[in-house]
Amino acid sequence: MSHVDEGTLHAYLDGELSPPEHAALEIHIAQCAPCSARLAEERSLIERASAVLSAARPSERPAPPLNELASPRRRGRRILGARLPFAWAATVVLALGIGYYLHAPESPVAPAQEPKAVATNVPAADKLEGRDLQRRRDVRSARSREEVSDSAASVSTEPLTTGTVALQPRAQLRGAAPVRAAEPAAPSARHVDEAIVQADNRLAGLRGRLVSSQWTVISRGSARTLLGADPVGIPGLAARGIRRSPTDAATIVVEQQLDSTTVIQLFQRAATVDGAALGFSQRFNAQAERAPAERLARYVGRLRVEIAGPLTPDSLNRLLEQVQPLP
Amino acid sequence: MPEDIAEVYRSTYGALVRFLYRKVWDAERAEDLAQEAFARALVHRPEKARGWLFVVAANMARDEARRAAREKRHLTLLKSESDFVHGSPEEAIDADTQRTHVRAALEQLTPRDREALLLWDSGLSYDEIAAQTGLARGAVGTTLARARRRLVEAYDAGLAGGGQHVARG
Repeated sequence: MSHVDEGTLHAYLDGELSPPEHAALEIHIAQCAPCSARLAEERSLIERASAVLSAARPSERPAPPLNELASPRRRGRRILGARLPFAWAATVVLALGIGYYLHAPESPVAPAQEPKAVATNVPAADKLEGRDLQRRRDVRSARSREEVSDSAASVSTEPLTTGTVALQPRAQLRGAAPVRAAEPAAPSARHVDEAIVQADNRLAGLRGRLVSSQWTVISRGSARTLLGADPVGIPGLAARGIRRSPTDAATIVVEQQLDSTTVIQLFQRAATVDGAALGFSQRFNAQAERAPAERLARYVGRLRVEIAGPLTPDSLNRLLEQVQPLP
Repeated sequence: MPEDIAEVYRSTYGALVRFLYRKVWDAERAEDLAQEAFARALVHRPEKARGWLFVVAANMARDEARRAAREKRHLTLLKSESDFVHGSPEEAIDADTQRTHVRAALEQLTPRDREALLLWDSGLSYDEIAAQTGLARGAVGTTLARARRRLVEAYDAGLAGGGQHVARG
């Protein structure tokens, strides 16, 4: 056997020679001083290269559970979190399209606004979303310099209605209040406060118009006057503004920023028993069984509050549970 | 088979993140891509999951690199890495410097040498490396020998050029 080439030496040291090759090489090395010396050199080279590479490794963090990866929602969320400029661009394009659709005079608006959704039992996969939400916050802080400054820029260059516009697809998915939740007529009753109810069609109609008609910015004092109570919000979140519905003076929206890219809207008005809305909702109640909710509502004190935002129903639900009168 | 993927996930996730990290140089992005690769594996159920994952990951990293080049984010990425280094600021700076040198050294390799080396370091066998890189199986050893030598030489040269006199041993 002639001298061993370096490729074979590396394969030998890597444990990648076949058993016969392996045996033959060891016999040769034992008899050949030059090859034996080279073997030692190559061994130290391999160790050296490995050490150099190991200087460039990320800090190891535990892998998330595998089943979490299977959720398409998670992946969508990731894309939203990681590629915001694109996500926002896509959102704006989508919203413009839907806005056009909703306002095109001949467009079949009614079918589009048929309520589909809102089940309070969240599918199992969505149980993870709370964690996702937390993780997303973590991501945000970790990426503060780079991503957030980007996205903050993109948010601030959009008119305020962008947040609104982004939610338009959900407007089509809205449903009306399920019987169970709508039945208690006294909204101040304690047990009603915890009821998660469904968006009613009265607000639904308004949402279709948000695209073009500006909701007037109002002061907190005006909001209190209109509602007959303090407007509510999620404690600890920056409020972007309070706006009044252009068509229904009793309805206002509080917009709050969950993070630099996510605007949560809290539609609210003094709670009343709306028989028409109730009948409407009953009709579609059967359809509402399966589809996940995109928008949820509950009573807070004397107010009926609906939440909307680019989050999963579970996340929205958690946020809605935290709603309190703004200080 | 999903069970196989679960097993591969346990054994390979860390290596896949590391592999991706040495291509995109952003720890969090590497995790995202690795998780995305596994998510795809769950859908596609490839027969040879491990090799498949590294092929997918390499493709994703390539797309990522193109995108990064378009957006000229390299400098930002390098800066943001200190976020992920634990320990004192001095250690962080040192680790940062080292990483920069390793990255520079890796970039001196030919793409195929670099790929073979990174795959080997991720735990792939010669067979798997051959399948992924298109090298003949018998050429993998030679390729790795060359890649290792060039990496170490380039790293040492980078250290010397970077004003650090003592070669690391």
